[in-house]
Amino acid sequence: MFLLTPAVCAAAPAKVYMVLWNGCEDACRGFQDYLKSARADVEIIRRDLNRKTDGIPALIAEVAETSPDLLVTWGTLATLEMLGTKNNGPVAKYGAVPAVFMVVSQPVESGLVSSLAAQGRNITGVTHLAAMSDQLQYARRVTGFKRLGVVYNPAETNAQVAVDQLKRYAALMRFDLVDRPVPADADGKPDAAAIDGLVAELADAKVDAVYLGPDAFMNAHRKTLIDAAAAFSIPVFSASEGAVRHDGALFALVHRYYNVGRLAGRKALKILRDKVQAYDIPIETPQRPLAVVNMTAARKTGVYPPLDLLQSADLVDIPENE
Amino acid sequence: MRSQHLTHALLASLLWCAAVFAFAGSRFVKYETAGNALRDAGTQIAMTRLRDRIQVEMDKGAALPEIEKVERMLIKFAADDADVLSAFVFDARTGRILFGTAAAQTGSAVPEKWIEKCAGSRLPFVDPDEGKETVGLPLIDAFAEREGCLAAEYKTAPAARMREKMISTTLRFSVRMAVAGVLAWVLIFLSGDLKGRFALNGGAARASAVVVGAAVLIGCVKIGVSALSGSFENDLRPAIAAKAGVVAKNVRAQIERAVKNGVPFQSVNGLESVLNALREQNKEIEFILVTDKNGRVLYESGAAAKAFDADRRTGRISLRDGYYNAAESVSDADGAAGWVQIGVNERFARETAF
Repeated sequence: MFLLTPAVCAAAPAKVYMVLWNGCEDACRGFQDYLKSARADVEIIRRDLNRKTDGIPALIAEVAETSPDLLVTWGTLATLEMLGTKNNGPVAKYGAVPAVFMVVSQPVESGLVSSLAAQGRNITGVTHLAAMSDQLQYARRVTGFKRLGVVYNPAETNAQVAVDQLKRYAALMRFDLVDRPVPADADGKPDAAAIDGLVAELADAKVDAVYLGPDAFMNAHRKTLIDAAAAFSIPVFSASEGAVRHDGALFALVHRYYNVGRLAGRKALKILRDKVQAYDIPIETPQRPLAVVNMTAARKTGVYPPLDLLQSADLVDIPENE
Repeated sequence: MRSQHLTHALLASLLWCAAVFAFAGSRFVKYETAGNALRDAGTQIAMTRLRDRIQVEMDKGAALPEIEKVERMLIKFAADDADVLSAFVFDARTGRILFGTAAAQTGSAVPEKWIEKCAGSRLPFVDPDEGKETVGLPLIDAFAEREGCLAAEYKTAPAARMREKMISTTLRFSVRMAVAGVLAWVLIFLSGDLKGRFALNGGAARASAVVVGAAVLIGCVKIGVSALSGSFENDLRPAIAAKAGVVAKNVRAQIERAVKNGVPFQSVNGLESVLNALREQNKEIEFILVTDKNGRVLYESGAAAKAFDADRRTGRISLRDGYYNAAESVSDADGAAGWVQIGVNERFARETAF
């Protein structure tokens, strides 16, 4: 429990029920730190799903029973399970409990809310992906690409939404998009063995860069994609930083989860302290993304970001001096 | 008749003196403004760079009070500029100093007015005090909320010294020009009496005296104005040197960060764009060169050739009069890798003054 201040509540602390997907990581820490630094009088009840959804019904029952002042959720899956879509879900059981979500990449496309500014429900939250236009502009400055390649799993909503966005921006920003969906295997599942061949096709099409989008399947096989592209000296840029930090993608433009959590904390404070309804608080993304650049990948591909971009970037995997 | 000439001469002298003082005063204002602008721009360049570095650390995902490397950044910042008395970061809400150089009294609270000023605009705030001034810049987090404020106390003595020198230059010029002008007017006045004393043709004598007097006046004006500009440029030199040093250090720091992180010194992508932008923002800078350690130019912005003279006999190159050169060495893991050379046109204020 954090410090008591009369501004929030003179009597009992506000109860915040927090549903986490995999422990209290950076976003959860940022959320708590923000409330602590604002001296909010809150009691946070944390529940961890440990990456499984089977505990959800018990949590829904607990929320209905305890009626917290605010429900906070982490990640698309936990959020959809706890809050349902705008047309269907367990929220009716909670009555008027407002909710703040964080780390949800596509709240509109996933059916959680009607739009970012007019949610249609007493829910607000924070998305974590940098805007596609920002990612593409950054990529253009780094790689100067005129032809962009993407390999994606067409069965995933997030991946398909990203490719649709790329197609729209291709026309606006005047670049060619070469998209290659991963085919299904005999069991109907996406076939990881096809990735090498698809990247070779992109190389044949003379793409200048490859985009790794918000695609769970491709992220699970990102090393294959990045290594295959590296064989053709094609730089890969990613929507998430893990691919840059651990698997050799050139760069990603991201919002750190800690800052996503802090922004969610600010929204929570507006609800708890200022008594603003969640539906009156727009869903947002932090304003200033951070570029994470893998310098070993830069050396391998010979593609170094311009000096002014390097100054504001988080540089990782620094190569040893020769 | 003679008293009428005397009255005219007196009036002309008075008008002349007024014109001289007004002219010198206007030049003083122009050059003092230029000097202050140089100092302010230098401060802003250095502080903005430090602010950006701190904000990148915040963007990486840490609360400002937890970013311990900020203290090292502040110490280096203060060590790089002899005019910085102290540098510190304070919490935007409580005003408590979170990090600072030794002189900054970490843990204590800053004056309430700084908290208010920091909360106001995104532009730097300046709070003058006796012998120093505090310059502050808000630290904005990734979702546009003010977490803290970066502040530095600067000595005001250099600016005061520059002002004193310029006042002295202005007075010296004005008095000399006034005396020369009065003498010229007296000469013209005397020409009225030449006719009687030397039985000369009145028109011719008077005309030659007027010509001589006018020539003296024009000569005085020409020499005086040029000397005045030269003197003001001398007075400006410390401010020019200080700012050129700040720009050179800024460029050096950017290159060194890139090189330290694996970018080859010979192929720093976008360096010339950075140099061009710096020159665009700082009109007095004529050129910026980045050379390797043997002096071979790797990156260039502006026309450096204009600033150098080559001796016809020896071929030796030297900087022309009116140019100032600042140099900063660039290091890599193996030691000295090259140089940043900044060439400043010391007459930049003169060229915009007329």
